[in-house]
Amino acid sequence: MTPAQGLCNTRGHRVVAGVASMSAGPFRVQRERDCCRGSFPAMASPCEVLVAGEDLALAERVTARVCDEALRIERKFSRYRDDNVVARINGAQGAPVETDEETDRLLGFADTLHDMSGGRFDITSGVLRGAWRFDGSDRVPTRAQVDALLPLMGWQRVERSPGRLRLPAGMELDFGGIGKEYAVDRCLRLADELAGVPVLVNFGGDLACNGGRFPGASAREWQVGVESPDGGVARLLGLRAGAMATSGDARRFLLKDGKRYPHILDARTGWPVMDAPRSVTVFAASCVEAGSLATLAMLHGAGAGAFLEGQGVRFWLAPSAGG
Amino acid sequence: MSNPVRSRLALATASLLGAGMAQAGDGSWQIDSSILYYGEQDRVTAVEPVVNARKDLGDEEALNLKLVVDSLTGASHNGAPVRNYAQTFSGPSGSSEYTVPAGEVPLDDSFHDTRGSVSVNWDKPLENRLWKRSLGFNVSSEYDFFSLGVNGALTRDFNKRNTSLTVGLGYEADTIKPVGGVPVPLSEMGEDEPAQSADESRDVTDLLVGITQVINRSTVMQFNYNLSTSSGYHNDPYKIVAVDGERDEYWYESRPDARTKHAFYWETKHALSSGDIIDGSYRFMTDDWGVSSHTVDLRYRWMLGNDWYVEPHARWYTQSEADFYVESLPAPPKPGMDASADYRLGALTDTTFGAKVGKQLGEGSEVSARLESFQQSGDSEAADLSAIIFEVGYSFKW
Repeated sequence: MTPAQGLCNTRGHRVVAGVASMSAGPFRVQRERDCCRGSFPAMASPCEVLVAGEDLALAERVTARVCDEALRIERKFSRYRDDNVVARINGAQGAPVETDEETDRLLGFADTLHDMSGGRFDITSGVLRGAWRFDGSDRVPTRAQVDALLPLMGWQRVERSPGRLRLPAGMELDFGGIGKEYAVDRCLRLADELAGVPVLVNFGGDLACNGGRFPGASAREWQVGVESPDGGVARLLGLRAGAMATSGDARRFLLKDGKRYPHILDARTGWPVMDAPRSVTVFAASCVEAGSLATLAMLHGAGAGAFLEGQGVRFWLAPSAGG
Repeated sequence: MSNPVRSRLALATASLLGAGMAQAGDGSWQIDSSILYYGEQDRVTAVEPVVNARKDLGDEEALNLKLVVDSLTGASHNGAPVRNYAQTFSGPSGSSEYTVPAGEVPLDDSFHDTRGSVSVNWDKPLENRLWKRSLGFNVSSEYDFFSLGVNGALTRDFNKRNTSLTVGLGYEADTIKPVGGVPVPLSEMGEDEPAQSADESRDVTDLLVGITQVINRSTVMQFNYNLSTSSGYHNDPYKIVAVDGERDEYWYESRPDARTKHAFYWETKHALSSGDIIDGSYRFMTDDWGVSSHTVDLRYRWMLGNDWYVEPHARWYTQSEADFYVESLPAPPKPGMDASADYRLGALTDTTFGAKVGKQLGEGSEVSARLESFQQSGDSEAADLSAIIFEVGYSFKW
């Protein structure tokens, strides 16, 4: 999912290969005309850090810190690992599991989103992967296949208290819906502390920037390209401070009998929100807020635009293909 | 924000991320605990538990508490040289006597002590986070010694935080209260001479100037200069100096009543692309007692994978003797002179070799064990000793 990219003029001069400190993997930092760009892969996305000015050493330190933090969050909350808190919870077979303070905060946030969406957003709905594979094919599951999974879902069945969580056996937690946005905000905060100049953190199109004055005389802002669902940059937006996140992916759908099934699933039914826009991009103060508003909007289906109008936020919506 | 969705989301976001751009502390304490065993062959054995607790209060503000307990038992050199005949000494209070056989280092085996010390430090960034100040307080107590100290430091970041300059000041007031009172320096041991006083005091003032420089993303270097001046009572009240003659005489030692030390320190840490870390340091110290010392310390942290590491360590230390150091005096001391036979003021060379093994268990959590061998040699037989150091450590978030 790469519907947006941070742009600063891309006339590269010097490429420095770096390896982040002890815990982190490799990243690259290169100087461009008015900023330095650090990049590394994480969370199944291309990740980048843009640091205003031409101080390559500073950009290296900022990227190292961001890369460390992104990989830390990925290691801790990815459901693809067998050595983290998610694996412990999912593998506990109904036994209570101790949770740390950061995990509790994410669970608390997921709880709020579940409540605000009337149960449509649910971090226990990952088991639906067993029925839905949005690979562009026509393999729409049967009602029975989906219904078989519903008993393994339901946030309301999770017992939770500070420092402790009990997930009924067979159920799974998946922080995929909020983890990346959380990582963007956390990383921007760390980058801001270190840099003292404008920084933009962009993880696969979910991005945030800290504001502040660009070095040099000309006051400027980041140029953020919002990609259209069909590819290509649909529009270029100026962003000085705040965040942007996108929900929806034009490339992930099923098509059967002329009906398009988008990958946005309603956790109450296990079925796609059929008339949802192809994607929604929302601007807000933090990436977590932007991502949450985008998700909530998608779950409103055809009412996504109206919902966002009501929130008084800047947004950009790619209408549904059928609509 | 009147919109209910947005205000609720903003609230939930604030509790997820913490308010504002400042990094909030996660509310937990980082606890580093260890217990160290130090055992000299035939002499002192020390057991030292240490607990250090650090709480991140957010926005680079932090509180640090440290508790150390030292428990020492065994025998320590009393200052007299090795003789080819037996020597008899009276104990520190003049009450008990002990005899050391010919050819052995005279050790006073009544040596036992428990020391407790507590220190508190509070770091807080000042405006625009480029300045940081640190305030500290410490107290240390054992049965014949009490010390109170305060310290403060200011750190300023420059050069986009690549350079930090620290200036610190410390003051410490010590009280020494030996068993049986403070002996008169250069008085003869065993005489019924009244004690000079019940206790004595010493003031120590320290000035520290330090620069930390980030060389590149994997290398950081530090330079420190430390000026330490002390005035007051510097003697070891239990140490004696022997006077050669037909009959051995033992006199209480006497040291100058002031000392000024200059120390220069350089350290470099370098991270290799494999994740291994090389850490090397050198320290030079010189003082107005004529002692100067060199310390070289090298560590290599070798990352083994699966969060295990092995860290070999080597340390080499050498010092020259103080101007008033003697192994024994050829004739009774003249009034006003200084003399000490404490081997710690003589020429010494120490080497330490060992390794630490550790495993990181998670964020802020680690277990480790360290085993080292310590060898010392010097001008006198009393200075020759070997020791084993063993330490286990456990760090965790609480």
